[in-house]
Amino acid sequence: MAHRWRQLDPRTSTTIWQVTGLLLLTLLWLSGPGRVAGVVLLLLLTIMALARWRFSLPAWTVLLDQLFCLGTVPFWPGAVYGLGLPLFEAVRGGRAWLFIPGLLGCIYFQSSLPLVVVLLQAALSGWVIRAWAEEAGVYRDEADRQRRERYELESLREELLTANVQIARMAELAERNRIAQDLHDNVGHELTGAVLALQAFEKLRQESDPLADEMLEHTKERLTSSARQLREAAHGIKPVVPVGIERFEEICRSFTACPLELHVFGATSDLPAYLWSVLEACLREGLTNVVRHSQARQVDVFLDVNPFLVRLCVQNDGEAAGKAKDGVGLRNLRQRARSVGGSISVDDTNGFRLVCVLPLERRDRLGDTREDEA
Amino acid sequence: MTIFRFVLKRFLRRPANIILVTLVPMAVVFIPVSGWFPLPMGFQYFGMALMFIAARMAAIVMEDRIKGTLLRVGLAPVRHSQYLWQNLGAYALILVGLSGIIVTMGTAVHGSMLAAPGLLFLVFSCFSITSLGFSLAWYSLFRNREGAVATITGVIPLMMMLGGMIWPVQAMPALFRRLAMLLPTYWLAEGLLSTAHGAGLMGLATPLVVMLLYSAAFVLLGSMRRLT
Repeated sequence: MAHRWRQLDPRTSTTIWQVTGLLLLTLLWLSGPGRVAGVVLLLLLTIMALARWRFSLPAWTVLLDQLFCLGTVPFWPGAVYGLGLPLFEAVRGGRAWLFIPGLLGCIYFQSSLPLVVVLLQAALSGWVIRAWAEEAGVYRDEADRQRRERYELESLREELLTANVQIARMAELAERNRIAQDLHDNVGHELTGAVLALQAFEKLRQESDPLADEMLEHTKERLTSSARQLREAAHGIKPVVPVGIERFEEICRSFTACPLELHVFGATSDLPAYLWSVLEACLREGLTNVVRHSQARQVDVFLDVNPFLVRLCVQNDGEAAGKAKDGVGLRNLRQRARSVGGSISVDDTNGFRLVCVLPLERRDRLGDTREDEA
Repeated sequence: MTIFRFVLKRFLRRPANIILVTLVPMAVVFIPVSGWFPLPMGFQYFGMALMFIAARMAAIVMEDRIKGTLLRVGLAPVRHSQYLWQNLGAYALILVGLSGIIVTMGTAVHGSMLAAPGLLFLVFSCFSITSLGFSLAWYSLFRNREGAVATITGVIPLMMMLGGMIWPVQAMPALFRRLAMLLPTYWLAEGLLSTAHGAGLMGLATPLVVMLLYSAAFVLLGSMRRLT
């Protein structure tokens, strides 16, 4: 019943009012002396009401209703009460002045107290429904605006997430390019020099030249310098904060709410950095849900990497977490996973399980330039 | 006029429909004059037959809605109003044609007992359109075809009885006499009686106008586009 009341809108209320008005007029006709003229008037008013219900008639058509009523009054005096219908329409349409002919007709034909009451009630109803429609329109516009803004924000968020992934990929390529350049400019030159010096040393030793020992010393210096430069480059490349599987292990170690076991399968070193960021977020969300919503005694984390996809599963043996299934955190995770072509699914049939599946792009498709350079 | 032609063909290709629009109405022509009605008794029942045939026709429109044809029409370059008017036009043509045939046959069978056959044809033609509109409006109130057909099958005889087509309205209580005036069947009876009593075209104006007003109201109610 409450649901039906919620469906009551200004348009339905207008229909109800008009149907009630016509029924009351019919009852008046049944109780009075009017004959054919009353039937014709009832039909004409019904047709006008139906036409307004089906189409958007211009406001001036209420003049026709008034003409029908006033034209019938000489044959059936009760027809004057039918003026309530055009008055209702005129006020509802915001053009009460269109009822002036009807008002003059009322004064001319009959101005009894019941008629005044009927007309006042019609005007009041029309005014209330008009105000209701205006108010509903304002709220509808506001709701539409908010919905549109929300869609725009979600669209922007998806674009930002996609841009984030692209930037991560570009950064990876740029970094790889920088390392290759660094190795080529520093270590590469030193090693090339060492190779040339070794070749010279070999020739000098065959000729028993006394400069051979000096050349060997020179080669040793070059190789030592290359090793040092290589070590410095490696230190420069390695990040201070642990990333990838090390970061994963660190998060798992720091979780103390209950025993946690991490199972890793496959080569995690092949995973690009932008996927690690999504996987880390999933792991954190899964562990946060354990702390907030379940009474778990054991948590298992499975990370399975194969050549085509990576699958992360965080499962616990706690109670089903109804709130966790459609929370903001999971919605954000779904968006992030979608932005890299993956998906998130949850299952609460037996404990709680959060599964994240992300596709892996093949290195040759990613734009790996190593082979090209070779 | 593609829909118009299609509607005619679709209706007439079913043997049950052919029987409905030929044998049943034509049988009433041979019923002789008896009782209070000044016209051959079959013409009382022809009004009811018209309503049943119109109900059968409007049911086809409802079938279109239920089977999803209206949905496909909505996707075609055809407006709903075109679909509706061509359907109603085709069915109205069948009913008006049938009224013409019945009046002609009635004149042949009953001779001078059938006063003013032209006016009778006019009354039946107007009532055909009213019946079609009534059925269309009735079906538009229902989602379930069986429910709509079952109720309209009961409502039509009731309307005929209350409207004074089976017995005179004067035989009913005062309140029912007043209520009868709100039924289109009353105006059919009024039109037939006026014709039988020798009223001219002007005398028939009121019943004809009221029947046409009923048609307009019913068609407006029944023409609401519903896809389910």
